[in-house]
Amino acid sequence: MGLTTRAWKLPAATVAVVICVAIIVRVNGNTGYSPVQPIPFSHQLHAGDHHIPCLYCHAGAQRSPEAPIPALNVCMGCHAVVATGKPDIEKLTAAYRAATPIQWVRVYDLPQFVKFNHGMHVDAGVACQTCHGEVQDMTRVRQVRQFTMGQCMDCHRNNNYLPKPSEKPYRALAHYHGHPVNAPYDCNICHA
Amino acid sequence: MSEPRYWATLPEYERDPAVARQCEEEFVGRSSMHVAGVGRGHFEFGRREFLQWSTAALALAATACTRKPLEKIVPYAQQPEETLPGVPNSYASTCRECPAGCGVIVKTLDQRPIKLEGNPLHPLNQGSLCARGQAALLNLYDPDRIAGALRTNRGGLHQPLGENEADAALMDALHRARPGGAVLLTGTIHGPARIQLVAEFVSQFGMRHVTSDAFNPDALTGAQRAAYGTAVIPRLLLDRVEVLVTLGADPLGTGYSRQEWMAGFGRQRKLQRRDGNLAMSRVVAFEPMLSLTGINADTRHPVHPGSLLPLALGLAHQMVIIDRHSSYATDATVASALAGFAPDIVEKACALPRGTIAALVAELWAHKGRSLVLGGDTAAATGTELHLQVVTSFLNTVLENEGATIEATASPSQQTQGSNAAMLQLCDQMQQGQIDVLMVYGANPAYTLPGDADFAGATKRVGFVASIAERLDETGQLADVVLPALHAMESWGDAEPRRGLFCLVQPTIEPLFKARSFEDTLLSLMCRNGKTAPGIAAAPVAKGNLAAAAGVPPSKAATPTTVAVAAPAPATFYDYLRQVWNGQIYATNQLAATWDDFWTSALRDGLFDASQREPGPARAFHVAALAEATATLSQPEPPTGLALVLIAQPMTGDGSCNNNGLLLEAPDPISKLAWDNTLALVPETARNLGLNAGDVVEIAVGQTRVSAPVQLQPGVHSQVAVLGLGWGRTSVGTIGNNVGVNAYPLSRIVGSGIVYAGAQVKLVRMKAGYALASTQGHNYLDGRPIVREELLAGFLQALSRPPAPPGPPGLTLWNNGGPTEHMYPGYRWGMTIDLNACVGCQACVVACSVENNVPTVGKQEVINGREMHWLRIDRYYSGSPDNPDIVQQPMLCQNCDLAPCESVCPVLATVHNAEGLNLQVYNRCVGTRYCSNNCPYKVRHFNFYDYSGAYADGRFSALRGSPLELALNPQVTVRSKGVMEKCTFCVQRVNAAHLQAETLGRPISDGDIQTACQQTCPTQAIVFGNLNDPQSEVMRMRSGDNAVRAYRVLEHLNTQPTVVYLTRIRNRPEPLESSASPSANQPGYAAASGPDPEANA
Repeated sequence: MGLTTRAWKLPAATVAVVICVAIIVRVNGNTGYSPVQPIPFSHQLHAGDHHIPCLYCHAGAQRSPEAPIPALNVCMGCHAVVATGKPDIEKLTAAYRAATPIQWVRVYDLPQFVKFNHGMHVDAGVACQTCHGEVQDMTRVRQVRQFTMGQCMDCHRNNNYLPKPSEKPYRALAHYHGHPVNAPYDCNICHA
Repeated sequence: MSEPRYWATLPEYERDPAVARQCEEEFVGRSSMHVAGVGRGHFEFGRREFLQWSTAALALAATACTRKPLEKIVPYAQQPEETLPGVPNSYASTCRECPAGCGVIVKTLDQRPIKLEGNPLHPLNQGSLCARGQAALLNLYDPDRIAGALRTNRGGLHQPLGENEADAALMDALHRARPGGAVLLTGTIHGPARIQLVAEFVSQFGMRHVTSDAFNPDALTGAQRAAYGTAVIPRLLLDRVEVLVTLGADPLGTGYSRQEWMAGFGRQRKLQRRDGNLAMSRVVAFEPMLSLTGINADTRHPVHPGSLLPLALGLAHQMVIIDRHSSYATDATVASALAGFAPDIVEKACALPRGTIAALVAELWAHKGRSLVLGGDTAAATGTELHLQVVTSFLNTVLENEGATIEATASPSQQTQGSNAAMLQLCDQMQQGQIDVLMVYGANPAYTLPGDADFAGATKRVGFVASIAERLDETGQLADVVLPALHAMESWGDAEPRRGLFCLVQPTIEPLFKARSFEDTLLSLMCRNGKTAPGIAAAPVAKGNLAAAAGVPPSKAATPTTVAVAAPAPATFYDYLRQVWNGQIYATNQLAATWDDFWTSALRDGLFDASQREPGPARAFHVAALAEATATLSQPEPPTGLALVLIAQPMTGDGSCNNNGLLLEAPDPISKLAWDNTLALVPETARNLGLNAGDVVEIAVGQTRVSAPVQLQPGVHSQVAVLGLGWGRTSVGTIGNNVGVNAYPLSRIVGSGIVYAGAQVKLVRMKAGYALASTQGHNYLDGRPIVREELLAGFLQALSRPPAPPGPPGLTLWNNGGPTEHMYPGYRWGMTIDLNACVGCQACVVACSVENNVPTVGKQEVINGREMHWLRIDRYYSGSPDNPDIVQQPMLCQNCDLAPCESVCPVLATVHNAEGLNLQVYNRCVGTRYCSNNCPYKVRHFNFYDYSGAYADGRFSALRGSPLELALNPQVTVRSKGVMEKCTFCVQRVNAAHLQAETLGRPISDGDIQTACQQTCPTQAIVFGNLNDPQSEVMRMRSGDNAVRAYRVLEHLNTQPTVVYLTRIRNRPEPLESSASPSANQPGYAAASGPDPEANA
């Protein structure tokens, strides 16, 4: 009896391990995730063709840890007069009039033990595309990087330099300490 | 001088071998292993699990190894101007957990409050907040609040009722009531708009308004009327008091303005230069129980509650008749009143050492006008508490404290206004069938009145009872209709805690449940009655200074002009509030600002302060009152028998907030017991009665019988049994129901007052073995010098001595004893804690739990030694259990430079950072618990259970979606099962300060970072800051005069903690209790100065 059990245990364990590894690989490499959104908003059209800067709509990314998806009133700032006849814009207008928010599907997601701050990165001059890819070429937003800790650390380790005084005011801190600015890599910077 | 021997528990004092054995163990009994019998199935799924959930968890959205679930992002349709998702907003408001009226700052994130902090602009609490105020967040999100009107049918069926139907039923009853037969019963209400609304409502319906809280100041107001002619609540200026004498009073634990008083008390407790000399205040306590004030006293005498009045008279006798320093010395009335109370007679009757009174009076004379004698509170409520208040008023008048440290003419307090007499009269009228309608709000007489009052029986003879409350409480169970009320954080309101200090309450979240504020309910009933609020509609509304409005600078502006504008009838209380503030405050204060500017600034600051800080002139004392106070008293006699003393306790207060796991688990500062109230007896008395700790006894006072567990409490008077009030709720909610025993029925009605102390009590032992959850005694000092204490005189001598040369460098694992490997080029964070200032109020413990999502674990887990508090207040006794000295010490992660935890973590989950912080990385932790094992301070806590509800099939996942989830701080990771956690020095606040400083392009300045414990500390005992900056407060506090006091705990282990404590200084002439027989032959009791067992390990 015991022998029989042991006989199928090994292959079973192997299969389990393979499945787990497969799942882990798939989750960590969540790249390519590109869910269908309630309104087919095209970044290619807005950011690419029309050259609207990212921060024009995602203004909160400069000041907030989050990069908030714009509220409907931001969309309506243009679409009250632009392309009002298109069906999706009509849908947008109706939602705005009824004060029912659009429920977008989340693409980028970090676990709650990671406290990423958009504001600091935008302030440090990191381009949105560094992490989010060439969003201005995407008709539907697609995750292109893995968002693993290794990728964060690569960037933080390689950005050590002595800033010039003419650079952004936050760099004054570097002169206060008198040492080059590191993108910090103490654990508490992300894991509070 | 030999060090006193400190002990944490009675078994340790008695050298119980079990304690010695435990000292050998790393953890208390079962705290480190799996406990059989508390697994799934053995645990009733009820209150315990629910409360554990009460501080539990946001769902961990994406757990590993699964495809992440589809998540939605829902942006605003119309984003409010001041909000930005992810960025917190703060609003000034006023705390309404008790009527003290402290100012709060409500921190909200994405439109929901996540933390309350004291408002630094508020003159009462000055930035601090008590434990109850900190825990208010859970009261807001409490799922047990009622979500709509109920028809309760007097305890029977609970049926939901439409708001309209409830209003109609109440209106109908009000219309049918006989003239004078309708009563509105409330707790203390202050604030001009709320007062006016209640007055208008009452007059419109021909009702009577009765005010009664759980504890009412009848004795105080009665004595003020007798002694000074007016019944006022005086304001105490404890920040000017250099000698404080309490006679049964507990101003720090349960006083009506305790945050204000603790701030003043703390200021005087800190060592300071007074006329060039180092000085601190002196505190002497005479009390039957052990109060929060008493454990902070320099000298404390246990006295019988019946001895408090003779003792006060003895002090007066010494002052006036023997010392003859006062103008009253020649007053015949005074002389005859005090004649029988010569100090030696009183001392004999009170069993005090000879000369106590004379010595104390000499000190009081030396601090004339800078001292205070306080009598009263429930411990003195033996029926003669009014007389006691008269005599203490006399003492303060003689000492010229009246008008100096006591203030009652310029801006007296309005924080407690109830009356036992009025309440008991109402009960009588109810019994006699004279009351047709009773509306109750903010009071819970069915729970707080003595058993004799038979409030439940009385309500049966009332035609219609309506309760307006946040929850279905004991009084609501007796009502016909229960109307839901809003929490203060959901409603508009105002407060006026002292005359002229106007505070605003503003909503910071949309109402969570379908409910309406009390004020809006009154307004709605008035509108339904067909009449608008008459006083308001006709009142002229000041539109402000027209010149200022037209752009003329304020300095050139003429006096404000009042323009009569017929205001529309206020539809909501917000409109009403604005109109009253406009008419009563703005228009009468001759302000240069426009009304809109005034309103905006009052809203931003949370208050408008027109009160007077300086005390008014001293009032004249009517000596006839003193004669009256002693008329019925004969010679003092020694007390006989065992007297019951019922007291309010600092954590739970009157019991109104008992559905709150944070408050129930934060241990009582004195007994260190959580989740229970107990009958406290001094060990000797318990032995004489044949009782042991954990025995359940039946307490019989007259016909009332209550069963409570016995606890041995050193320091209680030998002829006194102390029981805490404010426990044993039966209808408060899932968490608080039936926790502890209700002691209110044991109070008695005597005359027109309620007596809480002095009743002769019979104790009958019912059973043994009741488990008490104590948080002290999980770890022992084992003779190590962890707390330090010194007499003031000794400290002053030590100051003049040259500093001791530094010892040899300690041994380290690193660099072979050379300099440590850690360099801190930028900031280096550390903390200084002044043991002189710490009163042990536990506000920091609760603030830490709220800020850092620390789970509440429940009584059984506390017994198992697994409470999660990142910060605890350790309480140590020294001397004999009859009257021990007490030292308290906040203990938290010491963020050691050479942290023992870091060197043993196999996965580098606890590491050092470049700013001296000892980090805990939850997502790396695999739960070996080596770190906790190696921590000499025992400040690391392990998540034995899934308190976070992270696992979909976990023990707490069933309660996902509860409003309690909203109370979690999203800026701090919620830990899951199997993870170690500890104090992080509020690293999220450190990070936030970094971000802010870098955005502003400047370094972090001192005071930018306040840890949650430091922020809420009423006495500013805790200071956090940059150790690399010699000018920072944290460094200044440990240098200069205080350098001699600074010490690190277990310094000889060379862990190099960044937390520095300042030695507790005791200001008294008698020596510290020294350890008479350290009996080194017993295992586990090394002498204090001896080698440490761990040092050799």
